[in-house]
Amino acid sequence: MTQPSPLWYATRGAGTVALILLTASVVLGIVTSVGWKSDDWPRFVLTALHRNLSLFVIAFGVVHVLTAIFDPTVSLGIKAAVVPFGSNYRTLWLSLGVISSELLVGIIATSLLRQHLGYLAWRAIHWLTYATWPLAILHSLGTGTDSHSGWFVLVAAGCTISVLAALFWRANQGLMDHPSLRVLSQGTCGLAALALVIWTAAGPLQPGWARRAGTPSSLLAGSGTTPAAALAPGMDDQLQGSLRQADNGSLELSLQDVQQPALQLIIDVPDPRAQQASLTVTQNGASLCQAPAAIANAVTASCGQTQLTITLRRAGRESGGILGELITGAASA
Amino acid sequence: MSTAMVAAPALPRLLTANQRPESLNEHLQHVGPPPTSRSEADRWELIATLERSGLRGRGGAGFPVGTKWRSVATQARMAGGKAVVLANAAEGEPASAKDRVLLARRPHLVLDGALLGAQAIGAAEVVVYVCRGMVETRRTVESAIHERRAARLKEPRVRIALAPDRYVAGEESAAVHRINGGDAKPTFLQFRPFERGIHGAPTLVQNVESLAHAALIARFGDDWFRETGRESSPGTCLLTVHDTIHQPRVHEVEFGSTIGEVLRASGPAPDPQAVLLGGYFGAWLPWAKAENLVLDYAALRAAQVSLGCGVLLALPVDRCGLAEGARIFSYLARETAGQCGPCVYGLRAVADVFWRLAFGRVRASDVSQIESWAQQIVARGACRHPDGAIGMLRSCLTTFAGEIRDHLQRGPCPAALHAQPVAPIPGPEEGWR
Amino acid sequence: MTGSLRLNPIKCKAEGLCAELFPERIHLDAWGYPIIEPGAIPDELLGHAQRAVDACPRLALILQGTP
Repeated sequence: MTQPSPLWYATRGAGTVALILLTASVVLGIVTSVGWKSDDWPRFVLTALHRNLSLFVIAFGVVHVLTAIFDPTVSLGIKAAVVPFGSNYRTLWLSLGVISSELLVGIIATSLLRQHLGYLAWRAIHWLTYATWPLAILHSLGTGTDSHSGWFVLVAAGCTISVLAALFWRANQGLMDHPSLRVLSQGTCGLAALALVIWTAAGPLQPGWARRAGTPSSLLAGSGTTPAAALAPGMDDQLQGSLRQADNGSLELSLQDVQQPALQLIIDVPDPRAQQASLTVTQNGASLCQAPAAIANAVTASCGQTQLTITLRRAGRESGGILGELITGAASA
Repeated sequence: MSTAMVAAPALPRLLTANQRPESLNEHLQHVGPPPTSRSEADRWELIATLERSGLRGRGGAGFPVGTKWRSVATQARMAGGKAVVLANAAEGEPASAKDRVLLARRPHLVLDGALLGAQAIGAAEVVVYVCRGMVETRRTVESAIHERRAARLKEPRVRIALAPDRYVAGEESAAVHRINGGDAKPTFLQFRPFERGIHGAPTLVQNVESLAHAALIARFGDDWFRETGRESSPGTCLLTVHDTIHQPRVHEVEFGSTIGEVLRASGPAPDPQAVLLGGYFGAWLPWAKAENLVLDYAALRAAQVSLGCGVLLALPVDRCGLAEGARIFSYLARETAGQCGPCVYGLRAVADVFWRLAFGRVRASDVSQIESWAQQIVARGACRHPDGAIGMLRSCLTTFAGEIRDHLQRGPCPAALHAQPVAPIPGPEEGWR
Repeated sequence: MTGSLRLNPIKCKAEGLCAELFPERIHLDAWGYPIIEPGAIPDELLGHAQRAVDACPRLALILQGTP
């Protein structure tokens, strides 16, 4: 697998920033809807900030979408970005993002045209903002490849807590005279947040989410079910691992493919003086290939139709540390 | 100049002794047929006659009727001919019964006036706007409309529209809004009803008493109209008179009479301590000022009062003016359309203090707070409701200044706590349709 | 060019942004509703007036220009 392009990082970065800004805008919107203000934060500042943050969400959203469209890693295409359920890359989770962004564009357009719409129509449409945020967070957790990484979980948690706190506060302010209604709305928000946490823990944070979310198999690390596909010709991956020597003199090299971490290679050398070894390749623990290997300048072996060539060197001062390179090619007749 | 074929009526002009509704035939025998206008010139001639007559509106504002008809006619001509007449009988004023009584006795005279208005402005439709609660009146008007249809008079369509029994339902823009399908609440629009009203057409909104006078002026002329009354205030007007001795009654009174004469016409009664003139949005006057006050627009203006919708309520000496004022004010605070902050919150705040002044305990500083609130309330609503309420309040506090000192020092007087209320206060209403 | 401000009292719901942005001519009454000083607004203050009009969430404020 090739190195991810800078666009892939840009997509994730812009998307995360958009999520944070959207959270901030939604929180401000909630706070101003019950007329909160302070001497340091007059209402015109709060509403202007809310409006400007929303425009920035659109700006970062555009970057997020454009980089995603043109990122060769996933090659989404324009249709995927504008038609809900129009891509085969994590169809559902991507679509939530599409819907959220299209709602947001529509809502912002109506806000800019408020003079012509009248207050009531504007207000009715603006209620849809309550839908854009959950769609965005579900999209980011379901589609984002950073879902399982610690920093993103923190960001998502921070955003969720902010929105939840704002909703609770608003229910307190706006439903002071209706305790049962207030408890009902706060309870519903709390349950929704809890459901989000449970879903995140059981879904995106679990290994194998990428596949369950609908990532096309050609993109999955260790793709496909046939060993030949996982070890297709044309690979050029870095390896890293360790060397162990047993009491009886045999060597065992354990290597992991840096680009496809699920791929592990074990080279057993029973007799270092002989130039023979056995190679075992596993993917996620499941055996892909077990074949005899020849040791010359490199370790070579055949797995199905693929010829594997492994070059090795010591990692440096660290004893036992090994670095290597795995090159695959078509097996010659 | 009179063009009618029957003798011009003597007094009373509007209120016949007969309490039954006048049938179409009786009406035609009484005052003859209305003049028909055969040309454009005739229409403008009628308007000019009304202007010369000096007839002023009897709905509360006292706006010259001829001038109003001219404005609407001009608008209608510019708007390509469409126009509507709204005969306003939605007497939301609890103490007023004149419109109801007039329609109950002379429905055809009122309809004539409305139809003459339609002729003058080129309207093809007349709407008679009555309160839901005026059941008898509705029936009478419906019968009269049927009678006219059966008689196959070549007249524009007349229909009835219903108003809720609310204080502000009879306000011009509220009436138009109701008839256009909305709530009977005043609106704040770019155009007044005379420019764009019912279904967007120029609309003549006129009180039914004004229309009745107009119907007579059209037949008997402006000179005839000016034979009674005064130079600046010609003709007669209908007043609803309340004292605690006799049943509330509607009197037809010549302009130029004094308030004292009007009250004594009901029958002998001891002198009251004060009167409320105009309606619940009118003004209180001590008897010393009121007794000889001439019913004349100029004289009333000089005394800083107004005829309003013709309510004259006499307060006996054994009652408390503050109590009456507080009850009326609370009613008015309750009857806002609920649309404008200063009216809703301002009237409520004042009503609370006023009530405690009349019936409970209050500090002098609270009472002086009233005036500072009053200044923040007037002229800040979409209609004149808060202005009317504050006007009544200010005149009450001025007229009963002695009582204020008493109440502040000694608490509510026995009259406030125990005497029978004089001003009728309806129960709470819901709904705006 | 001068202008004058007009308030629609029915639309106004005491959100208060106008008084924040144009305190030279708008202040709030005892219940939070704007009291607008009558009279023409001079050129140098028109920008503030327009900002107040634009900021009103209820579209209750109108600036009527008289060139």
